[in-house]
Amino acid sequence: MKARRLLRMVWQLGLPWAFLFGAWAAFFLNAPLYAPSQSTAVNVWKFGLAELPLIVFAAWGLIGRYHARLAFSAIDLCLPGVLRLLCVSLLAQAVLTLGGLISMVVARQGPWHSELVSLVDAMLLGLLMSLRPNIWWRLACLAVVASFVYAGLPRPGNPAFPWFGWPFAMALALLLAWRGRKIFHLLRSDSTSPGLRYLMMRPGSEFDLNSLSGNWDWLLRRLEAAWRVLASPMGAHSSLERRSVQCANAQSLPEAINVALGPLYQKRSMTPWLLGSAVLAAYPWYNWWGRSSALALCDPGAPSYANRVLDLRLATSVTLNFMAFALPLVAMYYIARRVGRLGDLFGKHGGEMADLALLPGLGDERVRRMALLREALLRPLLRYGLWIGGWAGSWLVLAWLVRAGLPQYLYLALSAGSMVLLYATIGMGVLGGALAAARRWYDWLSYPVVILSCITGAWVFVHPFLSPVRNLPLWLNLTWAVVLLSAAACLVWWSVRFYRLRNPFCR
Amino acid sequence: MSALPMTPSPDPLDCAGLRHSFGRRKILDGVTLSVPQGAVLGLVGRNGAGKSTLIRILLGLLRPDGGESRVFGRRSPELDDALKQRLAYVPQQPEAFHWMTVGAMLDFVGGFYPRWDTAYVDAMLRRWSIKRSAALSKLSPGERQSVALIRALATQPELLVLDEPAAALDPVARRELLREIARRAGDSGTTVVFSTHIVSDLERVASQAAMLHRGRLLLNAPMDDLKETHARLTLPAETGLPQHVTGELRRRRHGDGSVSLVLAREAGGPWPQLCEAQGARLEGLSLEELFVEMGE
Repeated sequence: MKARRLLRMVWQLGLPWAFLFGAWAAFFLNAPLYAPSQSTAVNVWKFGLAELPLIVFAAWGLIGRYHARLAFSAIDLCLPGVLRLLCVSLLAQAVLTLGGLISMVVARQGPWHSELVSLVDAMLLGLLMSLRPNIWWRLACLAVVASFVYAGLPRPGNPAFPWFGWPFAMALALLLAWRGRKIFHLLRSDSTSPGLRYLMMRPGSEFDLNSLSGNWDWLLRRLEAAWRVLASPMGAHSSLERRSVQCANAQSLPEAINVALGPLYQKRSMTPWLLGSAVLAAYPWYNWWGRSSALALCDPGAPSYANRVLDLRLATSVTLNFMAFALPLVAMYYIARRVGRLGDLFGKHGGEMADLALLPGLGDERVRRMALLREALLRPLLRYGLWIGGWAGSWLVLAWLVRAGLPQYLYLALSAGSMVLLYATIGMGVLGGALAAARRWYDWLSYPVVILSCITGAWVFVHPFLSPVRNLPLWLNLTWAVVLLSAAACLVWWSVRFYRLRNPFCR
Repeated sequence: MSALPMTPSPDPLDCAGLRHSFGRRKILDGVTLSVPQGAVLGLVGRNGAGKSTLIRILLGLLRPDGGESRVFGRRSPELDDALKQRLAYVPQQPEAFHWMTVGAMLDFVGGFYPRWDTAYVDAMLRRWSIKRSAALSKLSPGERQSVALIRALATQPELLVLDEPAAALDPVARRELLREIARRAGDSGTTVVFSTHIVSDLERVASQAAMLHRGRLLLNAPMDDLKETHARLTLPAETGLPQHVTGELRRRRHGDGSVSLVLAREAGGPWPQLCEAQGARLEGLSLEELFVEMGE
């Protein structure tokens, strides 16, 4: 027992420092390696080294610390059931990680494989979200985003390949700076804090699973607070007062529903939203400019104009696919967050839905139903649909400038639209289950879409092996069109079902 | 859902044949209850007896598998604004609007009630030392429950439904709440339904008591009658016991072979002949004893 406790102390006290030191060292060692090179093998090694600290960081932050702490506690407290759960959890995460790695390998096998990987990942995410909405979806999102990143990257033979190491290095630097700042404040403070070990090990700290990996709300809250500061000359401190005024004046049904649904739904200044949209819309152009500069650096002897034209085509073809999936994912996150919030509200017996059901002056059931549907689902869909539209529009302009082919246009529009609808539909299915938990048939409504999506995905996977593919982008567009139409049909159907519920506030 | 034939009643709350299950677990099994105007009904029962479920069905917050409930004569899921203004509900764990401040929440809710008593709100907040600027999420469970009670009482309801309102309150706040309930019922004829585990609270304010046990309503009687109409009969081991005794509610055999029965009779009616048997002992039951005997 003593040896175990000693091991535990060494583990808890030593590993965070070892990790921090290792990550910093790896970063500084890798930084000089980003100089351009034409050698594929060297590029692969550079890229791998650049990613290694980030992978170590993620593995420790997402899996290692959480499982280690629980395992130690479970052993100390003799809880065999917990150990079994930990094993299952580790197994599931290993499958997801291996899936991500396999995705990466498959994505590099041919020109259309990245799309295939993205499609299969989207299907898996849909399945996970539908079957286990409260447990796995965040983790699945992480895994899918990672595979999208891999799928969108150029192959090592590409001269611009080393340039892609920089975002990883920057992400690592930011993460380390974030922790460094915490440590710096801790060391400077004269408080009776139990120290760095406590800071890093306590539940809920930024090093904890809930904050670092799973709880994206934490990051989003900070972003929203920052935007609020930018948007309001009075700064973030006025938000509570402003919200109070909103609450006191919220006598109409939409206002009352927005208030009841929480800050996520309340009206805010459009400035932060526009600011975010502007940043996102500018991102493709910034990306194009960055790559252009990188390519010019690769071959300083070549005429600058020729390099830039080449790079335009390269940048467009590589990034269109990635962004076409990344954008719907971002929007899906926002929509899922709102749907999830709504599901939480319906799950609370003493919560807002009970209040809304019994508050007088909000009109009859039909009016309430429509207002809830509009405020909780349609408005976010519209808002983020516009957001995605603006972002996608920016890419379309870029694609037009570099004379991208029609299939790429279609692919961008269809994939983005179908993904949004697919996830909105799944969200509606989850919400439907939350609304009518006692009605089992309602819970099963999300399955047809998922099954349809899986069939479509399987068809896309099998089709290239059945016949030579000459016009794959066209086939991909068609498959996405099928998904889009089926998702749209289901969304309409669910909306009708939702509308027909006699009282959505009464479970 | 099969609605039982039921005559619309002017009672603030009534239900007939309520049945509800969560999965395979039966929560309510044919509950029929009526709460007359001005009554203070105490609903007691063990954990999981179905008290909260019954309250939520009565208010239309949960759709029952069978039976029907009415509020002021209107079916519960179809309450209109005029009826909603006349009722107030405090859930067991008030979780709503936790991201608001106390003042913002009360202002928001108060805007919907024409009879909102701002003076009462201010006075109670001062009395219970709750700041308007405090965030609801930062309050203790007891303070949150206090705010929910203030909010409910400020609407000056004709029907007040409280789901274990005193569970998180300190003794002083609990006593004040009970006093307020009694005052409202006495002065303005407010009908009150509250669930509780604390029998002394029930004795202090309730005019009627109902006991739920495993989804069934075992007792429903005026408080004054309960003690008079219920008693425990203890019989020695050698007494010959019939299969069923008139008015028998519960039967328990002890280790020494003796048997104790919980008996009920009509108000002013006779106890069964068995009470005069050799060695029989008939004793009155306190409310707590009665509920413990019935709930075991």
